[in-house]
Amino acid sequence: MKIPYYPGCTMVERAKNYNTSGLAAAKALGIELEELPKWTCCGATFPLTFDRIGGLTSPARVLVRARMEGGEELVTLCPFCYNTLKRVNYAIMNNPEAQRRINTYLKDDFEIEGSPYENYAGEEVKVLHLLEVIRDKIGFSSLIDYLKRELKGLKVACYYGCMLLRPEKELNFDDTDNPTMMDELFATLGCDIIDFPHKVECCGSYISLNNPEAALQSSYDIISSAQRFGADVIAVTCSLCAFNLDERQGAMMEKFGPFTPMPILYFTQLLALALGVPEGQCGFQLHAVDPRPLLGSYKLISVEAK
Amino acid sequence: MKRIGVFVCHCGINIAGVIDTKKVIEEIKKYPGVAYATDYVYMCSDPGQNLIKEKINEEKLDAVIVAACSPSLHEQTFRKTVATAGLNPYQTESANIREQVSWVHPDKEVATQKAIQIIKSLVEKINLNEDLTPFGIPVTRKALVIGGGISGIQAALDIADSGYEVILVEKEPSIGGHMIQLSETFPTLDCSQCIMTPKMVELNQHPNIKLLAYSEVEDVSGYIGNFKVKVRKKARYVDIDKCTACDECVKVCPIDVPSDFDRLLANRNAIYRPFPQAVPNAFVIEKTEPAPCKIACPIHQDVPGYMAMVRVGKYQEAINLIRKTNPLPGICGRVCYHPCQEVCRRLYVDEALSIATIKRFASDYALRAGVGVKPPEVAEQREERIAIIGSGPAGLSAAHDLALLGYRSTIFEALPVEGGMLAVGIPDYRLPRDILQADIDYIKKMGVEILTNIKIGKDLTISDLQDQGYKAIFIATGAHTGLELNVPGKDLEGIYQGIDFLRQVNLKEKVKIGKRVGVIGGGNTAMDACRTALRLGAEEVKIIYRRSRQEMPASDEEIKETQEEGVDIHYLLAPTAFLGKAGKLTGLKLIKMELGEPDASGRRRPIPIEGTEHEIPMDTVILAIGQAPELTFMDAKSKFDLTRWNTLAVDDKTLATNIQGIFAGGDVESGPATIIKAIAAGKKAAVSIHRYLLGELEEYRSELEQEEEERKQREEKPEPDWVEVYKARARQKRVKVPELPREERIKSFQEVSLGYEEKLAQEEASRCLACGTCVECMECVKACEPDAIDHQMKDEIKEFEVGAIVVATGYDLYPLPEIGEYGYGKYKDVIDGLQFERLLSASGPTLGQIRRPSDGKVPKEVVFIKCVRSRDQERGMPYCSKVCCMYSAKHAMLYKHRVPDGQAYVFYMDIRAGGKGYEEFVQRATEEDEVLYLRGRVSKVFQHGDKIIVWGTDTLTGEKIEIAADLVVLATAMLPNKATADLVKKLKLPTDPYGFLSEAHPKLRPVEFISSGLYLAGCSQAPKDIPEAVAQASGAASKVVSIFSREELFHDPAVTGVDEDLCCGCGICVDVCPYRARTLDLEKKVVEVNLALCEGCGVCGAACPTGAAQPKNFTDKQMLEMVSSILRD
Repeated sequence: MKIPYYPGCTMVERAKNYNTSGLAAAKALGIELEELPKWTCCGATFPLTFDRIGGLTSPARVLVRARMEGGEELVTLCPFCYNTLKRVNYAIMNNPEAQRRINTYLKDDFEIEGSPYENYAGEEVKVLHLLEVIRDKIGFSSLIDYLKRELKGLKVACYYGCMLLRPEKELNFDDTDNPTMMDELFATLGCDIIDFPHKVECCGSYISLNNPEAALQSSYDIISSAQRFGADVIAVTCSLCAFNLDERQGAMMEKFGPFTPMPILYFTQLLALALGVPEGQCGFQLHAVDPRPLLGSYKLISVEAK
Repeated sequence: MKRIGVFVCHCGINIAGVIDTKKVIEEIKKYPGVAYATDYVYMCSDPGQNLIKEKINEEKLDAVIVAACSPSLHEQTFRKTVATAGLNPYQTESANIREQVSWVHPDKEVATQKAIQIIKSLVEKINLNEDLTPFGIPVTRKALVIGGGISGIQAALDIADSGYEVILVEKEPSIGGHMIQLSETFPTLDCSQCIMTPKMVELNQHPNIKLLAYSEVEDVSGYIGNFKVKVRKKARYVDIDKCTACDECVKVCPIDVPSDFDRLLANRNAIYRPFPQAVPNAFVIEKTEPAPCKIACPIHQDVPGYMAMVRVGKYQEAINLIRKTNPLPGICGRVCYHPCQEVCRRLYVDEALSIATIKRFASDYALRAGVGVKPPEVAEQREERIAIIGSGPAGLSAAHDLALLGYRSTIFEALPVEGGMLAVGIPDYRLPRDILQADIDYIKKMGVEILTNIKIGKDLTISDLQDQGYKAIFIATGAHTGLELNVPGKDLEGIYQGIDFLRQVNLKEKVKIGKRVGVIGGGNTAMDACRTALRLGAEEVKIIYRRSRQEMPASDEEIKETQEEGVDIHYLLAPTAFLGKAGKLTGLKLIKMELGEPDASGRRRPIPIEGTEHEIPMDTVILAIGQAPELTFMDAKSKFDLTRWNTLAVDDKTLATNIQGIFAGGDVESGPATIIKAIAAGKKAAVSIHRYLLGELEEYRSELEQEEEERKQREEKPEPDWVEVYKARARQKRVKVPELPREERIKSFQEVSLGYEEKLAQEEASRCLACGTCVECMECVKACEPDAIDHQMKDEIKEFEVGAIVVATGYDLYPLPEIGEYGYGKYKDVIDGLQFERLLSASGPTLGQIRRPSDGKVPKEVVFIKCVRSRDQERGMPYCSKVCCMYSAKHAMLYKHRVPDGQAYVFYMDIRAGGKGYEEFVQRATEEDEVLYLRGRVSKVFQHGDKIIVWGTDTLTGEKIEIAADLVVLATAMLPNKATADLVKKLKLPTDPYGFLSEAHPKLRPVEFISSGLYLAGCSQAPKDIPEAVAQASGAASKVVSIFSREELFHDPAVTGVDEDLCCGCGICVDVCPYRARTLDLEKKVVEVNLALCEGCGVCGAACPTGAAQPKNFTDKQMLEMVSSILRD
């Protein structure tokens, strides 16, 4: 099946390994994610300023573009894109003023470009995360048919962060207090699921820019909690979580003392591995904490001497 | 034209401050029909009323308009006033010039003008008003109270004490409601049971009260004074009058289920009494729908029954129960494919029970201990002898059941050994010979004769058997012929049929096997062939299967064990040729497959992928692609009908073949299937043969048809959401079945699965959810001395006529499993308020000692969290549950009294302690008992080690707080009782958005519904504490008594009848009537009205297209005159 895919900026820059592994895993499942042509910025975050409407134009443009390409669905990997695009749909659908203004802006844009324009009502293009696509179109229990390599015994703590989950009413992705979607996915891949209390606690998000100390404490709490509950690896869905949890471990050790480094992997990397995607496409070399020794010890990849 | 008087009220400055009353009088006096007009400061006061009376007489008025406030306030007042002056009370109208004029119009001139217009319109209306007289309706002086909690009990007692009869219906086996579950009550700390039980006893003994416990209201019809009620009295299976509550039955009942009364903190039996002081004090047996395992089993074994018996260590009883339906327990305990486990409801909790392994344990135990190995005595021996062809599971089972029916049978077996496919198709490592023999020996002890080495069709014919005097024959020859694979090279040396190969090995014949073995096929025979080949010394064994894992017919366990032993399974691969050299097999030519559309079997059809052919070397190939029925018994004299699959054609109900007196079942009839299906066929055949010999085969057939019809209907019933039902169950994974170490397995034919030993079997059996609850083992019947138990009891429907109904259905707590941030009910030491009450209660599961549920330790740090899902707009209920502040203070205080060295924390949003002695009580908790109150919310609760970690904030200091607690108690929101929703539909009661019952007026009519004759009390209306519930109940009772104390009830005559000449019978008014007062008489084609039900709302009048429905004194003509008078100005 073919579904339009919106990568967003991070996927082609900082989180290349998320992107390549996600696309490869989807392909292994028979899902062809087709990159949306001429895609533009999603706005990165949902606008919280006084003019909540102007800022919605950019993500709305992405959705209208997807509709133009004939897509009724649009897949994302980046939770920020997911959050923004899905909430824009919600806003357009539920706020007539927003719908009117955004359509006025976009009409000009598209007409200048020479494309015909029709009112966008916020429901024509459904925004999906790859996790939802796998759950609803393949079914977690059917993954077993595609499995090339069981991740037997790998102790995975699934960390969900915030952007996929909140606000609950608008995103309706999973239970905000105890999400289980990733846990269910990894259980079918044969992993041991580590249920740890910090699965939705804040990772520090972009506070790490203006108050790195505070963010460091948050992400350290998450890593030490996962460690205390016996995890080998933390699976994430968001590149900002990945940054805070993975690349900041050096700084954590300086501040809180040494600990065994904890590999942080995108869920797609582990999924791709289980589906038999070649190691090269998983981007395991692009991590601050090298996950390869761990994966090697479970005989999931050929061990590389370091 | 009437002489009309208009009386304009000033209402102080309420009206006169805006409206120029003098001008109103001046103007209205000019209006036709107005004979007199005046104003007064307070028309509702005595002087005001006297003024009206005086003027009626002086001015000879026929009708009176009072221009004052809303008719909902003083219409009744003025009706009485005019009545005392001799007018009909319906010759008065209220012109609302306050709410509709002076209060809403600041412009004096406009207001005055509008007041005049309103009065004028009423002059037009009153001109056409008829004199009306209230009509009487009879009253049945008997009340129905629904709900036996404190409010229901109080209401019933108050009504009964006033001398009227009461029927109290309670859905639980005992009255008492939630109050009887409580330990002590705030703020006086008196013991709840001590103050509640006297009331319960009084109710039970009251001569005016009839108590219907364990009953539910089915239907209500009628109206005030004349309700008809249907009550379902649920089968209790215990005679209340005979039961002495001696407790002997519970000692023998093997079923344990969580006790609702103890809020799942303790277990009770299937026969139980919720608590020792229950009223009525008699036991009850809980029977729910039959367990799914029992339904799924082809022979419908009583699985929950023997699970229970194993759990309690009554192994003799367990094997007796198994043997009741299953003639081959040792075999089934090992090699049954257990369809029961596929539907086990434990799957909704964690994993299905290992049912077969427990059966194996019971059977092995019996064998070792020498119990249950003696067949039962058969009462009546019969003359007729039966011949059975084949000693496989079908033949053996038929012989067994026939023996129980008194028939002697002879089994003819072609093989040199007894047991058919059981003996030659299943290897020893799955089914040891001694186990097989033990099951066969048991059947032989029943008088069954087995003759081996006699092949029907070769040594004897079917007609020979008939000549020898066998009155009926059962053919169960099985499917022993392996199917061939038609590809080039099939005659090479080194190619075996799987089924032949297994037979040779089982018969200890010499079999030559190579080093590299390929097995073709994906069924159990293929798995058995692989594993046998490994045990015979093959070095490399591969399975070649043309479809994928999903389509593979072998059982999951066998596939798993096969793989564990080192067999490679190659999916989507099919052989195209056998390769050979000098007549010997050297390899296989294979082609890759892909799956296409589903075929007739529902499995996706494999399609070869071109250009993927390749070869692999191999010296032995075993074919296991299917088996065909054994039909050598057919000859010219005995011609049987066959199906298109070459199996014997039989009647699907009775298994009768086309030849009279000959029946067939098992693989020969069904094609290769399972052991349990063969057993079922054998058992079915036994009954068919019996009924055939009695000459009742046709009758039997129709009985079976009817059974099937009933079964279908049962299956169509919608199932509840079991995940939801079992959400609160503790997770406990299946007990692993011990197995021979992997490396040991392939060295010999020793049994791989070692089965459970006693402790493990009991542990596993205890996971059974006892779906049907009572398993009808009849142990209680044996134990009951007064003979009070009757398992055949049926529900009864009772009908009553009552004059008034009080609804007091109470509340439930917000279910813990729906509260994510506090652990979804999965942490044992996170409990709700009522559970903590049970821990505090002297009659609770811990006898009043505070011990936490997980390990029974006394908790030293206890956190109480208030407002859990109450006052929670986002995820819970927006309202305040009202009692939590007080009971949390009580909980913390009582905890401190019992565990003085412990620490209690209370997280709160506000402390709402409004009530007599309440604030003082909270003060006492904080000051004297040093309970630590923290103002803030808890964000997360999770288990770490044996502690429950609580994360919260103290918003007064702004600090983040983490407490490692031993026990967490949640004050969860109160919800309307689940039963309320159902009752609301039956009684057409109004509710608020949360399902609480709505009273007629929130301030002035708090104990009655809008519909007359219906009253409410207690928490079904809104969360409230005990004193409030009791007061409301007494209020409702006094309302009921006030109806009953009247000679006759009078109904407001302002109702809407029907003009039969105008009625067209369209029935529109029937649909719009909210009181069900109107019905369509289909014969007369007109509407009939029950005026006693009519509340005069007038909706029918508006809806009626012909004018047949005219509300009294609100006729279409009056309305039009009013409108015209307004438009005229």
